[in-house]
Amino acid sequence: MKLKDSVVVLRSKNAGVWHITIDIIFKNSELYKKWKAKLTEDFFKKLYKRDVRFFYCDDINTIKVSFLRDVAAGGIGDRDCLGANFYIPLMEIEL
Amino acid sequence: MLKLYALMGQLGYGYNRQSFDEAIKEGVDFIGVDAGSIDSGPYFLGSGNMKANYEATRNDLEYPLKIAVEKKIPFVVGSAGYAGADIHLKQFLDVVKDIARDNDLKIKVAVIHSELDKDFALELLKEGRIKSYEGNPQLTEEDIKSSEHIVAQMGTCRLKEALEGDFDLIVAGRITDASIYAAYPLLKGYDEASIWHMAKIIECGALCAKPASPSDGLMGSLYEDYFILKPPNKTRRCTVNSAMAHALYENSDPFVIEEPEGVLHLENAKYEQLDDRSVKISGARWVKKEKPTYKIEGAGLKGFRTIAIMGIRNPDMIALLDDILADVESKVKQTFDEPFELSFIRYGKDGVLGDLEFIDKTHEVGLVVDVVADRQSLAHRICSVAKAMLQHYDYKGRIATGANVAFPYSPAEIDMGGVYTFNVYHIVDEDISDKFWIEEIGF
Repeated sequence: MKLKDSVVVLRSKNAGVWHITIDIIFKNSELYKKWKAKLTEDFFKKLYKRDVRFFYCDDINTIKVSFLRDVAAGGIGDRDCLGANFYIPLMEIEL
Repeated sequence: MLKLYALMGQLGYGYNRQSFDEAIKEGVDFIGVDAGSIDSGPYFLGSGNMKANYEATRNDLEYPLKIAVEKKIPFVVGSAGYAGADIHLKQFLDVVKDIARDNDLKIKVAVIHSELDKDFALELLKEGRIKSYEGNPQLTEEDIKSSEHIVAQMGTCRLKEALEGDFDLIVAGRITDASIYAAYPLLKGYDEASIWHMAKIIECGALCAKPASPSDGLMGSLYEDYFILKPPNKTRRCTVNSAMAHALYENSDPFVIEEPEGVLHLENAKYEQLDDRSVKISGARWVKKEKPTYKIEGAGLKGFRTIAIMGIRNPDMIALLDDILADVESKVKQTFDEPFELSFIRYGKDGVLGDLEFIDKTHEVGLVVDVVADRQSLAHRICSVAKAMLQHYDYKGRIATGANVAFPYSPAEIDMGGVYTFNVYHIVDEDISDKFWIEEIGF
């Protein structure tokens, strides 16, 4: 099963000009529990090649990950001013 | 009970008049709208331009303002003119002035300024009162001096003061989105945790509804220790999921949301579906800070940009693209003595994700040649040279000896004007609320 098929929301967005935050909101608690084993802090560190802040939100079946951008939003060299595409590498991940 | 109406997610995105009329019919105690953001990068703060131009601002403001003035409903616009510096407030007030004149309205306006004087910012830096924020770079004197404008994100302090005055409209400079909606119920003595939780969610308008839209309104009804969210537009609904998902939006921490005057904790927040279209929310916790802290933002001019856009379709050229671009870059750098930045964005290859790209299937590349230099004419010349090199690049195996690339535009070089970067995005751990000041204007 692909991650994109297990979620109601999978998105990334700026949180201030120096941070990207990714919200993964699962369809239900069973799917959330299944994916938790795979989507660890280490997994995100490797995928995004940097340190991350990492949260399991058990009550709302959500995993949240935040990290620093290489360039502040909209600065020279930035590709994605709103940070809206950083979730893409997660879509096709298989459980 | 207090009814707060958020006109839309952001002024200029187009509001929904039916929703507004519906809300007014139901009864509204307060109308708010957020007009600014830093989402679009440093350009607007640096250049002093409004993002929503005169027409967009007037379109969204005119009718609601007219009704609010007639019905004497407090109306607050936050981060007016987008970035909230004095120059943005001035342009925004020009729109208000024209609305007053053309509708024969008398409007008494309170303007709350939040632009900081550079000397004051330097003083704060010297005193060690400016902190870096979750790991972003330390601020330097040069960062402050080279900023075009520096603004501080206000909290509710001055807005509460203005709301106690007899004003038809309050136009605030840079202010946190939630503060726009929190100040009024705070004045009325409601539960602080519920106020801030609600303010945080409704500030984006119907973005927290289903279907989501930043161009439609949302009603928040505040009770003693809970609140209810409901979109006036009958084609939308608020659900437990849509409200919860929105509480996380644009925050790096899902449970802890910091505001200038305190911190909102959402670990024990409770969301209940009341009926088809409304959600009841309670259980947040608000911890007041001993003294307020403020986020400050500053943007500086870094040069002028010229770009050229071209399409590459030949598979042999695409296969060699890494080497071709590296070679063009090095040759362009040898051609010019003055400093400049040259970069390429390769849409179709890795244009969006850069080194996070994981798919290697390319049949076509849209190439953006991006040059930033100290003056526009130099950026233009450099871009032109890089463009010409790519146009005639004699890569290994080339069989078409005409031009290599497809230009969708003539001229190929597009001057983009000033380029700005965020020099300042830091925290001031000192109460600077006395620097925000209220100006009274009558139209």
